[in-house]
Amino acid sequence: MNFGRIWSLIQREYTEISRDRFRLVSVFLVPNILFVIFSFGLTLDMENIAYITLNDDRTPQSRTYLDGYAQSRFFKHIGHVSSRPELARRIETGEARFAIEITPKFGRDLALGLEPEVAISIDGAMTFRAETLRGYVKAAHAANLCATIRFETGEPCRLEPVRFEPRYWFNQGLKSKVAFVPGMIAAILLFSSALSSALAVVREKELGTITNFYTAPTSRLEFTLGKQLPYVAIGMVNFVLHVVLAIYLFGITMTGSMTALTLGAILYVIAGTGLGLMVSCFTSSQLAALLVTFIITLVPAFLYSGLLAPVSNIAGVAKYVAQGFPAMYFHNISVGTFAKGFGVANLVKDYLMLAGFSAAFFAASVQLLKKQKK
Amino acid sequence: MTSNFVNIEGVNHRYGDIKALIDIDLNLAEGGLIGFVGPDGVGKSTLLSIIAGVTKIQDGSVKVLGGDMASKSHRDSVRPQLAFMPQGLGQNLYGELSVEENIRFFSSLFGISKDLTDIRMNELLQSTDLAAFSERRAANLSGGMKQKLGLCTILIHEPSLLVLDEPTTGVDPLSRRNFWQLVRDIMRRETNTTVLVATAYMDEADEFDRLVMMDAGRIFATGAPAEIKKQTDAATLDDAYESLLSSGWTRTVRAQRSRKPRGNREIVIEAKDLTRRFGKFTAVDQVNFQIRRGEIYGFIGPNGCGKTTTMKMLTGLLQPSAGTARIYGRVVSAGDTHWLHRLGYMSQQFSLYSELTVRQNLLLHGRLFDLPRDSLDARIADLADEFELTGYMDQLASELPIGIRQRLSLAVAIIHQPELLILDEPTSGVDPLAREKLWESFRTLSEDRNTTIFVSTHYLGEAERCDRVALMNEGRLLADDTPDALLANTKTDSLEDAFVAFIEDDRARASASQLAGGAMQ
Amino acid sequence: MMWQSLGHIYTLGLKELISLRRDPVLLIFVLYALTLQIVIAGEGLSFQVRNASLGIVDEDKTQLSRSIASAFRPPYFSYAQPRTFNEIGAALETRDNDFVLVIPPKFQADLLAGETPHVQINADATAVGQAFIGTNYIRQIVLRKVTEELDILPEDNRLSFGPKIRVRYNPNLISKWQDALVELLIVITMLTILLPGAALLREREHKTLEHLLAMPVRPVEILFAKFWANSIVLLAGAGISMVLVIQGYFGSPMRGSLLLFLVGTFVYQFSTAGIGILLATITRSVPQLGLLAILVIAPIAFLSGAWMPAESMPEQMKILTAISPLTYYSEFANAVVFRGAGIALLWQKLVAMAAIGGVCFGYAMMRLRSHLTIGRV
Repeated sequence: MNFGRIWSLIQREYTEISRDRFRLVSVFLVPNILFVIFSFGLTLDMENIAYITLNDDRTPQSRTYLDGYAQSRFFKHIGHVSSRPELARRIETGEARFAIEITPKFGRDLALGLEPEVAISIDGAMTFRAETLRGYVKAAHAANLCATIRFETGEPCRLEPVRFEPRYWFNQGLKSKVAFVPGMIAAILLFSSALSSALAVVREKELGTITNFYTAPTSRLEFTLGKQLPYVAIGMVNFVLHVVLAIYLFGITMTGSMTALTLGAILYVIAGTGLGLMVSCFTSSQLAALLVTFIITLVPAFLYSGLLAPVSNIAGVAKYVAQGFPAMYFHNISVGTFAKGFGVANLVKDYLMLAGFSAAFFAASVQLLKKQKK
Repeated sequence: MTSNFVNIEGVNHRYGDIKALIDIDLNLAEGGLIGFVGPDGVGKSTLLSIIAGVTKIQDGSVKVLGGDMASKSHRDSVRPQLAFMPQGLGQNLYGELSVEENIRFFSSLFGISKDLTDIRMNELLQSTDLAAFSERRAANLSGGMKQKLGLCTILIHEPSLLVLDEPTTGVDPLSRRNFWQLVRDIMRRETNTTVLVATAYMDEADEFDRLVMMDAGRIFATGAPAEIKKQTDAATLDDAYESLLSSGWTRTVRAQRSRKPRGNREIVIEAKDLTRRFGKFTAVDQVNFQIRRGEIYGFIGPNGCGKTTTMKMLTGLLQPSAGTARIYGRVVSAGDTHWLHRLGYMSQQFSLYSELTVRQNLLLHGRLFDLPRDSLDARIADLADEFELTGYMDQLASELPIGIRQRLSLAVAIIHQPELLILDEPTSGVDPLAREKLWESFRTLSEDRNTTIFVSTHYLGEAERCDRVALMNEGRLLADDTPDALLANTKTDSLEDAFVAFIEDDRARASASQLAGGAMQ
Repeated sequence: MMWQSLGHIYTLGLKELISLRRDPVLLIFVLYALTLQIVIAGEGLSFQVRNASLGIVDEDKTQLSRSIASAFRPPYFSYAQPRTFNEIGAALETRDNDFVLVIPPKFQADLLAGETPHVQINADATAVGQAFIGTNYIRQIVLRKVTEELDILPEDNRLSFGPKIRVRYNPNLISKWQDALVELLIVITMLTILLPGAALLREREHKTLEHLLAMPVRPVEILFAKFWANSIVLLAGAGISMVLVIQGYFGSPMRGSLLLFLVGTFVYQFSTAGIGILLATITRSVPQLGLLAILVIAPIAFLSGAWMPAESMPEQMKILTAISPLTYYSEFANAVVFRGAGIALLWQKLVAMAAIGGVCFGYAMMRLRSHLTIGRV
């Protein structure tokens, strides 16, 4: 292996990227913009969920009960309806996400010490929202009913026989961003480093300069290294930018070891760029390389990395999809170092997996690269 | 040892269903400038890149520089002695890198020390006149300069076998002369250098030491140019090529240049101070000309001299930066599509749909020109007859040989019987025989139907067939007259020499005016 | 003139269809995206509690606490693992457990005595969605067991049953249905932005576009031809995917009319094809289009409310979601597929999508001619 040759390959790749404004923008600006937009946008902290009411009772009791919802920051009252078909219609259009329906005997039942009947319809089309809503609504119902009893009848009201004390570890306020921002670093970094290197070889194939590789005494190993290393550097710059944004823009605290995170990032970026390079070696057009990389990284990076739910819990084929992809290991490193105070020692298994991926993708790229035209 | 320099036996090569090389046997001794001659698509490129070890051998044996090119260790060991320059202007260059950076990069690949690189690079830049442009990015060089830089990058490691694939295609005549001068100089200095070169220009081939003539994947003649001409009793290699290829084909007598003068007919196209700039670059610089009805007006010049840009402005595809283009007295503008019914346009690259069949292409264009449906089939049948396409009607355009493809393009361009044809390099890459047929068609259209034809080409030989010729270089019109008058004015006997004289004259004037400008300040 | 134009659009569109048929690689890719890709995404993770691993610190050690421990079982939770109080932190840290429930000493006795004992639920809150939903599940399971085993009801029987909650359209909250549908919408978005855009750029690269413009063909005719031909193919694909993958493989309901879904998809494609063609007119090459399209598609997919509830997004983001056509399309598709809504309720969404498409097409049209001049030199 000739290091001078590798160095001049790196230099050339670097010079080319640095002089191509479009690639420069797509390599640095795009991932960071996506990181910011996604980190802002990805939140489960639900607020202002639109609902409607149908009140056939019209007693002070029922109004007190309904007021309880209106005052919550989770819900947003968008109007009364007067009939069931109208109620159904407004849920059907998606205007309202749930509806509270109070039967004519609400006030009377309450006074008689019976449980008043309240029907709540939830739009189940979006399952996570419905799931969360069901929890919110149940809790709100009990609290509001209790409050109504206390207010209207003056009697005491005990909600449940057991008092639950949730303790949210590593994220006391159960804030979305504490988990999602570090998770997003994992998702975006894979996606962007694979995409950036995906054009590296196939572009030379399309432009014709790949001929120089055929004619020069450059070995496949040297060529692959010369191609990959500049993108590893780019990926690391993006990593640093993501971390800076996470800490200073989103206010995420780093509780663990920055060294442990950086070590993981290096391995992860090598794996990511290796994946892109591998695609670049077997595709024959730049468009195909982009599409293939886009398709094979986007969904796994978001849906199989552990960003939305822990990978450890899935079963079946999906589990192998997740394990056969580097994202979940770095997700663990990123979330672990940011939120759980992890150091290098906690993460050895993940490092080994990432190193394995890096080696496998690199070897595959070298194998797929041909030293002669067909 | 010498007999083993390049030794090829039974080589076949195919791309999918297409046979690129068929049973090639070839022996070449060391030394000399050896030309591989034939039009596009006959297998020259494939053969050269197999010799250079760039393309994998599919079938047969190839021995180069004393060893088997199928063996990886032999290929690796001869790399430093080999150099390969692929087809296409600046194909192996990195456009974003400067001239110097390009050379240094190639040098570092071969592990040449910095001191040695400096010495060799300076020599190369001096001899190619590129020294003044060493900071310029390769993408911003002219075609001729790109090819010279390409040569520098492959010469930096001082190879003994150079393989050049069509290094001069699309380069202006003066640069072409410079390029060959350079190659000859190198061969004089490094006496054991062998150069294998492919070309589609027969006039260049005359100067080579030895020729390998190819057609349809086969070699059909080898020998020194003089031998080949003698063998066929032909005056030029063009003629020799044709007669070797098509024994039995009766050649129509070439129409003589004596045609009725058309000077006082109505003016169809008029360009007045037509200028087009792209950023800082002026592609077309104050061009003036008039074309009269029924004339064949030839636009001659190298790639990138502004021919295409001028033609695009005339069809309304590009807005001029300054000046006007008039057709039938009306200023051409982009939104105005009505007059396009009277125009037939054939663009430089093959611009029909290669995924459609011949018939589908003809139908599509007939419908887009709003020809009545009932007469369209009859019209297509007529065209198929006229352009001898009948046997190809249900083939995909992508599968057609290039000559037939260009015939199809022309058929499509005249499907609506236009009064005016604008044809951008219709004969580029077409073999001499097919070129002959195309020019016959132009002639017929002009004489029988009074069609005005505005045609561009970079083959100077074709210029002689035009009624009037405009010579263009670097965006400017250098001359505009009948071929005879151009020869008379420059006191030369070939248009190529005339063109070179005009370019030199133009450069001399430019530097003189620069000097004058400097003196005045 | 009008008829002539329609004739050109028809003829050019047919040409487009023939070209597509001759590109098997592209068709295979389209097929993959509309089938396997949707399966992979549907089977992927989303916000739900599945097989969450639960540890239990049982300091009560009574019949009740054991019965609570045995109540946790798949598919929502793993079987409970016994833990000691000191192990909680480590178990959560290493993800050995997602939740650790602590049942205090004298739990059963306190309950029988009418006291309110405290139960601690420890959750790994780095899995936000799971922590939130899972805590609620645990709470319900514990309460159910307390009620069953000890027959203890809240003092006030007016609170015994809670509200009558009816989850409409997807009572069991099967998230795969929606995940698969969302992926279908995103695949449609991606393909309808990329295919017409790439087709236009390819025509430019192969110089066929300038050939067309040198004929009496107007740019608007070329663009509409690209739109209808690509849309028809993808519409057929979307219909097949809807029936075979979403309904067939995932068993999702189709409450509204498939025809209405396809009509809405066609209108949506008008807006995305408009975006694709617009992007094609501001880029020089297919790879540039690819990169730019990714920059556009990723946020469109992300912010449309298709993955995330749009209501809870920050205000600044809502502006972006309002101009993203997928926002309207995903509302539309959800309403038709899961809620069975008819056109009378949904015409506004169609108008919004058509308007976005109209703006993009209009702008692309203006750019098309000047577009020919970029990329030169």
